[in-house]
Amino acid sequence: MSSLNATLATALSGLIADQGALEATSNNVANANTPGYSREVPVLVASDPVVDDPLTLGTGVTLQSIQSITDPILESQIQQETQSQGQLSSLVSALSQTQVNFTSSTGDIGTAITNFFNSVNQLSTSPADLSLRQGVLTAADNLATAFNTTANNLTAQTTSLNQSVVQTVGQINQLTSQIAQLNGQIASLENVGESAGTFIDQRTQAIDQLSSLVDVSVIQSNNTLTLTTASGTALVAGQQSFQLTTQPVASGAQDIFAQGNDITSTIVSGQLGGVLQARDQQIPSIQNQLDTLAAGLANAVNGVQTAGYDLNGNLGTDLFNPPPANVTGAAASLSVAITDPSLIAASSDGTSGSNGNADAMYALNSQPIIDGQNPTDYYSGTVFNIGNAVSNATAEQNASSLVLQQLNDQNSAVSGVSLDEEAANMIQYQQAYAASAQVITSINDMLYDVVNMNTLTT
Amino acid sequence: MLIKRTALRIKKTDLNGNRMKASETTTQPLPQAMTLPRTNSTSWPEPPAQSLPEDDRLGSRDSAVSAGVDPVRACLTLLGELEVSLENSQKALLARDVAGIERETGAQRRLQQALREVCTKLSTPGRTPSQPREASKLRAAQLRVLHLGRVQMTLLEKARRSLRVCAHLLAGPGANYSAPLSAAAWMMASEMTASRRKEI
Repeated sequence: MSSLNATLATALSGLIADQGALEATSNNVANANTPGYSREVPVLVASDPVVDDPLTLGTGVTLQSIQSITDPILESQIQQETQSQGQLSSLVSALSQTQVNFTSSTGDIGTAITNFFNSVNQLSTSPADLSLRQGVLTAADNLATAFNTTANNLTAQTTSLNQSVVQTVGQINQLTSQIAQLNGQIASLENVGESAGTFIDQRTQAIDQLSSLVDVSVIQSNNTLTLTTASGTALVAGQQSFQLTTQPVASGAQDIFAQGNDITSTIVSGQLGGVLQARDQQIPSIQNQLDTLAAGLANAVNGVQTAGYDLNGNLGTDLFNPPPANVTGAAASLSVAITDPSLIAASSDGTSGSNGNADAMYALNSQPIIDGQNPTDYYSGTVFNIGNAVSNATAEQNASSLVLQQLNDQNSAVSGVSLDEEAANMIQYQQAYAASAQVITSINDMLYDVVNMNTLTT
Repeated sequence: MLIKRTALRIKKTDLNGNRMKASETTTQPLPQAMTLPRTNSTSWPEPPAQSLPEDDRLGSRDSAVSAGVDPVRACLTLLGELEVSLENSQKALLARDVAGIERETGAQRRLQQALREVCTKLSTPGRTPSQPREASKLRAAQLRVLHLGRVQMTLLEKARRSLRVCAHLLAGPGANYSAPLSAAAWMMASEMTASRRKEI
C-alpha cells in the first residue's frame, strides 16, 4: 500500500508538470506576435509506476520536454520560394532600371535615329545649303551622344550591380556565421536533453534570410545542420561556416569564390542569382544589341558617305569614326569624325547641286542593314525585348509572392500561436494545478489526522 | 476574445498589387456556412473570394455582346470579367481547389470566344475606339489581363512542378526518375503484360 507521503509526491509531480505546461503556454502567448516563432507544446508522460504486490501504483507525471511544432516540408518549400522571390525581385529591380534608358524621350536612341534621317532627308531638298549640312552634323552628333549616354548608363549599372554582389556576399557571410553559432548552441542544449526550440526558430529565420540572398540546400542530421549552395558549395557544416569572397576578374566584374574556386556561374537563385543574371546575361545582351546597332549604322552611313562627293567635289570621308571590328564597345565610343559641314557627301556625281548620295543615305532608314532589319525596327525590337523581360519577370515575381503568401499562411496555421487554443490550455492546466493542490490539502488534512490520532485516542 | 465578423470584404488590388481604398471595396454579407482554414488568432484568415455565379456573368456578357452595344464597351466588360475570372482561378490554383480551377477555366474559355467575336467587330473600320480616353481604358484593361495571364501561367507551371514531385513520390520506391506513365500508356502496358501472360 502506498504511503501518504508517496501520494503527496505524486500530487507534487502534477503541480510541477502543470506549472511547466503553464510556462510553455505563457511563453506562447508572449510570443504570439514574434515573427518566426513556432508554438511550443509540453510533452507530458506518466512517471514509471512502482509495483507493490499485488498492486502497480502510478507515481505521477513528468514533463518530458517542450516541443516546438514545425513542418519541415513547409519550411523547405518556403525557403525555396523565398529564393525564387529574391532572385526575381533583384532581377525586376535591375531590369526596370535598365528600361528607363529606353523609354521614349527627346534624347533616346530611337528619336535620335529618326532625327538623323530626317535631317538627311531635308538636306536632299537643298544639298548645297550649309545650314542644312550643319543640321545633319548636329543630328549625327546627337545620335552618337544618345548611344554614348545609354551605353555609359548600362556600364554604370553594371558597376552598381558589382557593388551589390560584394554587399550581398558580405550579408551571406554574416548569416552563415550566425547559423554556425546557432548550430553550436542547439547542439549543446540538445546533447543534454534540453529543448532548443527558441534557437531552432532563430536558425530557421536566419536560413530564410539566407535563402532570399542565395540558393541554399539544407541537410539536416541528428542535431546539427549543413548548408550548401544548390551546386554543393559548403556554406555551413555544423559549427563551422565557410566564407565566400569576391574578387575582380579580367572583365572587371566581381566574381564569387569559395575556397579558391570561382562559383559565380553556379549561383542561379536568391537575390545574388538575380543580380548575377542581370549583370552577366541581360545587360551584356542589351549592350551587345546596342553595339551591333551602333556599328551597323555607322558602317552603313560611312559606306554611303565614302561613295559620294562633298561640297568641294572631293570623295567623301567617314561621317562617323569607324567602330571596332568586333563591334564590342561601338555604342560607347561612337563619335562624329568631321566637323566641317561642307565635307558631307550629298552629291553622287561631284556637282554641288546633286542630292543622289543624300537620298541614298536617307534610304538606309528603310534598308535591312542591321541583322536583316532596318535601324528603327532593330531598335524597336531591342526595346520590346527589354519590356517583355520586365513584364515576364514582374508576373513571375507576383506569382511567387502569391505562392509564398499561401505557404506562410499554411505555416502559421501549423506553427503560429492560436490565442484561443492557448486560452483553453491555460484553463486546463490551471484546473489541473488546482486539483493537484487540492489533493495536497487533503493529504495534509489526513496527515494532520494521523499526527493527532494519538491525542484523539488518549 | 471578441472577433468582429460582421461582414466579408472582398479586397481589390490595382495593377501594382496595392490595396484599393476602403471606399473602393465592395462589401457583401457573410454567408451562413463557410469553411475557413484553421484559425490563427493573430491573423484572421482571408475567406475564399466570392465569385459571381457563372450564370450571372454569362448573362451580362451575352447582353453586352448580343444587344449590339458599342463594341468598345462590350470589350471592356468582357475584359473586366476575364480579370475577375483570372483572379479567382489564381486563388483556386493556390488553394488546389480543382473544382474552382475547372469552373474558372471554363468561364475563361467562353469569355475568350466572346472576346474574339467582339474583337472582330472592333477591327472593322469605323468601330475602333474614337475617343482617346476609351482607347487608353481599353489598352489598360488589355495590359491588366495580359499581366494576370502571365501570373496564371507561372502559377500553373509551379503547380505542374509540384504535381510532378507528388507523382514521383506516389510511384513508389521501385520507380525510377523518368516521368510517370500517362493513363493511355499505362493501359497499353497492362494489356501487353496480360497478352504475354496468356501466351505463356
